[in-house]
Amino acid sequence: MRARLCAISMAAAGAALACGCFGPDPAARAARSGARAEIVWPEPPDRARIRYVGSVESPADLGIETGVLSRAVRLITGRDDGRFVRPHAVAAGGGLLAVADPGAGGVHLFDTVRNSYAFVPGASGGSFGSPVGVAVWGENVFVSDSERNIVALIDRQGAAVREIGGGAGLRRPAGLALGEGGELYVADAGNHRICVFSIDGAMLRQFGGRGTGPGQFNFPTNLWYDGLRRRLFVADALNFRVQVFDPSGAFTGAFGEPGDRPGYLARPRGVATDSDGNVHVVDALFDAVQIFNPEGALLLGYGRRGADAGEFWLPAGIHAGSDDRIYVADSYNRRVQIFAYLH
Amino acid sequence: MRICTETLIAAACLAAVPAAASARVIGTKHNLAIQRQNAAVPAASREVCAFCHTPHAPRVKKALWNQQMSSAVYKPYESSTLGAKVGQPTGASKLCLSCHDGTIAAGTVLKGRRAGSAKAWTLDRRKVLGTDLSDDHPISFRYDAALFGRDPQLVNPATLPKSVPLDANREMQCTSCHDAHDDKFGSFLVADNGRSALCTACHDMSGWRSSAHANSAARWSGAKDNPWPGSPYRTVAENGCASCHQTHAARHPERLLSRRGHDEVCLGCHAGTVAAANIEAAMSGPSAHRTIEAGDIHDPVEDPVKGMPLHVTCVDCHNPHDGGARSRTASAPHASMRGVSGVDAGGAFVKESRHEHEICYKCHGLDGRQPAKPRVLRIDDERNIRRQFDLSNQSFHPVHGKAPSSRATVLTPSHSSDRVIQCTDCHGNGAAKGPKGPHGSIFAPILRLPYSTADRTVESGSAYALCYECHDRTAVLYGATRFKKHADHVVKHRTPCSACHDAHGSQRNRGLINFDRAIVKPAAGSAAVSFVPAGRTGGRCYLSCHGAVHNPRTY
Repeated sequence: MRARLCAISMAAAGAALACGCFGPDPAARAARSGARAEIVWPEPPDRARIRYVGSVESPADLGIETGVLSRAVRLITGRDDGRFVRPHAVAAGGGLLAVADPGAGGVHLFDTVRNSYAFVPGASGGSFGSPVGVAVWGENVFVSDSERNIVALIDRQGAAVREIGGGAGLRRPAGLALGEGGELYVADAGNHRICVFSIDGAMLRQFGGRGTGPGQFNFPTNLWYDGLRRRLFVADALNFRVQVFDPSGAFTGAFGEPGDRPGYLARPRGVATDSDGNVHVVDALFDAVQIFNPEGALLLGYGRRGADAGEFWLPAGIHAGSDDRIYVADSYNRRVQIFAYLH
Repeated sequence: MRICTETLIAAACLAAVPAAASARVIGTKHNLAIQRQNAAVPAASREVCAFCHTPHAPRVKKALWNQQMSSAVYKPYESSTLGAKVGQPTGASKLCLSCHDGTIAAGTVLKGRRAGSAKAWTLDRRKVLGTDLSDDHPISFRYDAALFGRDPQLVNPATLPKSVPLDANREMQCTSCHDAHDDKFGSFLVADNGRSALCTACHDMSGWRSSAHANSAARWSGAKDNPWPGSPYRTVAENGCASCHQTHAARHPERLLSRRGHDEVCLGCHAGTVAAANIEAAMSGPSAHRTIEAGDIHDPVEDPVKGMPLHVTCVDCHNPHDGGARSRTASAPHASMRGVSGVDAGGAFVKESRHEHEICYKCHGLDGRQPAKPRVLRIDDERNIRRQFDLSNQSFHPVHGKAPSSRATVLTPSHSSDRVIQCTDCHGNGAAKGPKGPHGSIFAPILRLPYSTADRTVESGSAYALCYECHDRTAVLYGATRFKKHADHVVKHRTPCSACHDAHGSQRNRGLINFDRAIVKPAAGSAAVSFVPAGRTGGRCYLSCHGAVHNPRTY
């Protein structure tokens, strides 16, 4: 009896799946109609909340002209000038877009103010082994290297400033977030804790530990700090949930459970909040981003598996700018996609 | 966290999975559950599976902004290959790579710490090659009869062993080599990789089974760096492919080599560390094939006739996968040079050289471009060595074929004139000990024995030892040749052999006569230096040398 129910629901699911994971997919509809239609989620008649804006694959996509200097960069980085290999994390601020690319072994810095591009393969201690996290704060760019177990601080041009966390015993530092007063939150994935450093490199505090209870983690990977509401969001990957803390590390809430339907999490990665406080969670196995309200109820999902506009292939990091531009690192499509959150 | 319901559903669906799978995972690194489970507690072991095998969600969650979403169900780690491009992992590989991204688990698995000259901070550390996961073994590609037809160095997919499975779409995935549940062979491999049994399940390099690299019991001598860091195996044969290749995070992405620069891969073992012969020392002589200068130019599919930058690396002359015993003809390449491409005597590119000289002609037998200037500039200034040995020339050392006449050569008793010689009969290592081939020598240009070309050399057995190895010294100097004045010229007037003779061949003159322009000048009033044969054994020379005018002098 249960097996038959299972089979029936699978068949229905298969039919639902055929037309896209989050309902009839706007990207597919645009492709079918052939017109350069606007790609929004959800589809009409529901009010549009997310609109596809564009994608970045190389400096030219941001209007950064490749001059003499960039030709030299091309020589150094290889054939494709500034092309991503496997972008994993993205951060933006003050006209600077920083993309951590462990496939290329470095960080791409796109400066739309100075109209320049730089690829940074290393910092003071040596080349980046596995740059998987990036955060931007004014002139400072933080890059976490999960192989060398440090967080490097570089400036907007790519010059090394210092290394943070060398003596803290980090094991696979991944996500980064900047709190108030320049406090740096580091997701120490291998040790299942969050470490907080000052910008000079001093360790201020840490919290967490391995477990399934509130405030405990099983491989916390990505972080996001919502400055407006003063909350830190942690993607607690192998507990299949997102946990929320106040700036001191006190637990305030959590949501999420494993499952294969919308509203559940299969492989949560990047997490970010828009200006309304809605939580965008990237899921690598669903190849989509799901939006939850602050209470944890599902609002919307956008994206599906593929390589076209609005489709993802193992997406990773996400960043929501103060202008409600949402950047998603679409790693195996070698690009960063940009969406707009519509109030 | 409400995991109970999900666990029950997971259990129902996992009922089909043999309990053995979950029991094996428990003892491995893939047991990601918080409490280390006891294998004797079956109920708890189901939780171990949920980290990778996403449980079916029991309830529908309504999406408040999108009414149509609710009935959808995902297939999280299954993926249709439709629309997937190169570099987009499909199927089971997608599941592996969703954790092996550098955050939960190592991003490039098995990152080697191999020694090599790669500097810690070089800007060209990674080459952005294209759309594939360039420094890792390729995955998510169809391994079918069409691929086998294009690449004969692969095993026919129809005969792959069962331990190396392709997925339902006949694609190779991470799961072809790795079983995420079972770590009994280490690195979650599906089979033991001693003697590269796992690699050779798919890769069938011609000549490998009888080659030196597949059979050598040589070990690391302890000098310099360990060529196999982190490997449980101690001999060359046991390490097999891993002596040169690295499946993940290869230092040199093309061909997944473990060290950057083709010669570094070889010199890791052939520098007195593992192999008996120290090639690195041989190449440090004053005259050498300096492979380190080639950098990364070499491309296995290069065609020297069609055009390529001239370079020399180890693999231009050697095929590291081959070396099997085959029938040996007089001019066949040495065992270490089997399976190497070449340019034949006619100037055509051949994929597998049958004669040793064909390998040398890839660089030394090209028209218009030569790797080095000749030491001696001659009247007949043919620079292409292939043409110097051409069988239609008046005289030549018998490399392409046997020489037509035998009387003029006065060979030593151990040499017969009825034979063909090879480049390496003259060119090779000048040191008494060490590898024999033309890697480098103290005698330029990479000669096995001394051969002076300087004017006024005092004649002795060692001054022209290279010639005297085959041409009997007494016979040459004291009268057994057609030209009776050898002693007069060579001993009394101290002219070197090379003043008159070209060691390779002479297009116009018999007896390898091709005068050295620096020593032999035209006679005053005469147009040019020349030699004119007179009868069957005699000749007339028109030249001026050491101030003596020959206009002509006849013998």
